[in-house]
Amino acid sequence: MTHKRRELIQYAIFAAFIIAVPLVFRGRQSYYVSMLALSGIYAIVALGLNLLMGFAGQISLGHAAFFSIGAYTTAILSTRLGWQPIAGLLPAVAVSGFAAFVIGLPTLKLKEHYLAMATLGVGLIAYSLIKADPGGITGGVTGIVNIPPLVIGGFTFDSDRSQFYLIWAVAFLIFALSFNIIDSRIGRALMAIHKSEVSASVLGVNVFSCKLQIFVLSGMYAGLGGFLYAHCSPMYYLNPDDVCHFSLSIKLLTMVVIGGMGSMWGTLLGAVGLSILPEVLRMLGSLFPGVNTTDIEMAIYGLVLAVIMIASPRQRLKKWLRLDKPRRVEPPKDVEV
Amino acid sequence: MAHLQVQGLHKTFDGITAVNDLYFDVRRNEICAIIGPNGAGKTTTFNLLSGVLPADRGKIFFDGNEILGLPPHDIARRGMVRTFQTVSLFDSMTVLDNVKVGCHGKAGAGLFSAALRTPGLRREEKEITKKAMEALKLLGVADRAYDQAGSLPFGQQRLVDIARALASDPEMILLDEPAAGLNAHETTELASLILALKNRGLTVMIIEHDMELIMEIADSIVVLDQGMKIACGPPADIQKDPRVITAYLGDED
Repeated sequence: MTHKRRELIQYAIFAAFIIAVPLVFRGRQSYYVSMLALSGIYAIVALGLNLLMGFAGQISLGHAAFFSIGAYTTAILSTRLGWQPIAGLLPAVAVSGFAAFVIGLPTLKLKEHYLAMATLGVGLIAYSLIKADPGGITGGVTGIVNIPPLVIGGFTFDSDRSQFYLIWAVAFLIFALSFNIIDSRIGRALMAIHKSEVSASVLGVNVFSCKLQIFVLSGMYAGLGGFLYAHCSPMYYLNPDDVCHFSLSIKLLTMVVIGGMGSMWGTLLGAVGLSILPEVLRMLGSLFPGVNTTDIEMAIYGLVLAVIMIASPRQRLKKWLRLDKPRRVEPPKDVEV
Repeated sequence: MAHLQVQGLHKTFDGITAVNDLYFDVRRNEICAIIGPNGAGKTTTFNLLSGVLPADRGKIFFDGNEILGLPPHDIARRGMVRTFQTVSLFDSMTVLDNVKVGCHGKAGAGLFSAALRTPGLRREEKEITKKAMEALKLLGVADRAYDQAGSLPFGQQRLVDIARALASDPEMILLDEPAAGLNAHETTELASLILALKNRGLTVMIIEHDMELIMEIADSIVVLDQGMKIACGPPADIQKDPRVITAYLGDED
């Protein structure tokens, strides 16, 4: 089977899943549809984080900041200023991207893990600022209520099912765009940077510019996720603990790591899997009264990160999990070897 | 005018002088070897030329333009590329993708045309694939194009490393100990390959310990010792130079 054909089949399976979910979970089970819609939002953000971490090898510990900047930008515009919800899309994405640009500009020139430290700091600052609300625009701890649902071409996305389809259509698009980026000059440069910045640079790769571009793009993905979250969240309500807390940054990071860094399909599965996790824990938790399942959730992220970080350099485990790359890929038909 | 002019190049590390007020010229389309004992400053010189390390002072003219202080990717895009002593291929990528990275500077497609797979990008990608395959064919490793780079034997990795540097159609290539770790047969092939590069119009600079190889292919030799140039000239002169014999070859005879 050729490379192209396999790719098409994968996309078709992905699309079929998206179409099927709301048809399978109906009536009383429609709760699962809204939960999986939320997982689509996380998938969008995690795909951007995967481009940054899995491909370019740069770590962000504060992606929740960009997510919340997107969410709050559109929420403020549509509630305080009365903008049409869809009009908030560009500002949300642009402001998040700009925030990433401002943070990336000084830190990405440096080697090592300065970006991780800087994003960690920015995440904490964003959280405090949104929560303290010195400007009186974010609503502080109470957050922002009554955010209007999206209206596109006269259609209002206010049901679980319509929101699910909207979010996953966007996720599908973002997935395809990201795949194209990876399979291009830019994608190859990112992987080269990941292995060795010096080797990449003497081959003509502008390392700083590539890292900055991909960081801004991942910030924009996060802003897009935040935009969708604001207009599709349960009860149309934003508060800092849901969208800006450090634990969200860790959750997003875990989604990328658990899916195998640098694997786009893995990131999708990681996003869906970790979005379902709280629900699974809640069900298990009912068997053990008195146990706080939210604490267990964070402990699981920690455990996953620790185990994968310790085990990932080990070849045998990689083979067992089939994470090792194939030693030879199929050459495309139109290239003479 | 010389292809490369090095004037008063100087570099110290924590007070230790690695390259000491170095002057030399490399003529267009010649093979110029840099030799000298370990610690003579040969690799540091390459690092300064390619912009990997900043120099303390001096001037480097490539094609008549001052390049000292430019970032490595800029120097590569102007046509001077290099390889390292230790081959570091992007080992989880295929051989072909490794060499395609070498074409990076010659192509211009940005993030958005890549994301949208515009017709211009597709054309450019085809061109890159063609260029990369040509470089692999030149080095005789085209049959490994779709193998994972890390799975190749060492000798072939070295060839892919050179192919990667050549993919951008450079004017000048700096090879840092390309024969290290190669067997006799591979070294012979390397020698004819380097001569082939010269025939294609490239200027070649080479650091090498294999004196037989150097004497066979080099047009001129620069001898370094403790960061200083102690001699330079054609191989026949260098072989006879008493300072070189003392400093580099030892006093055995």
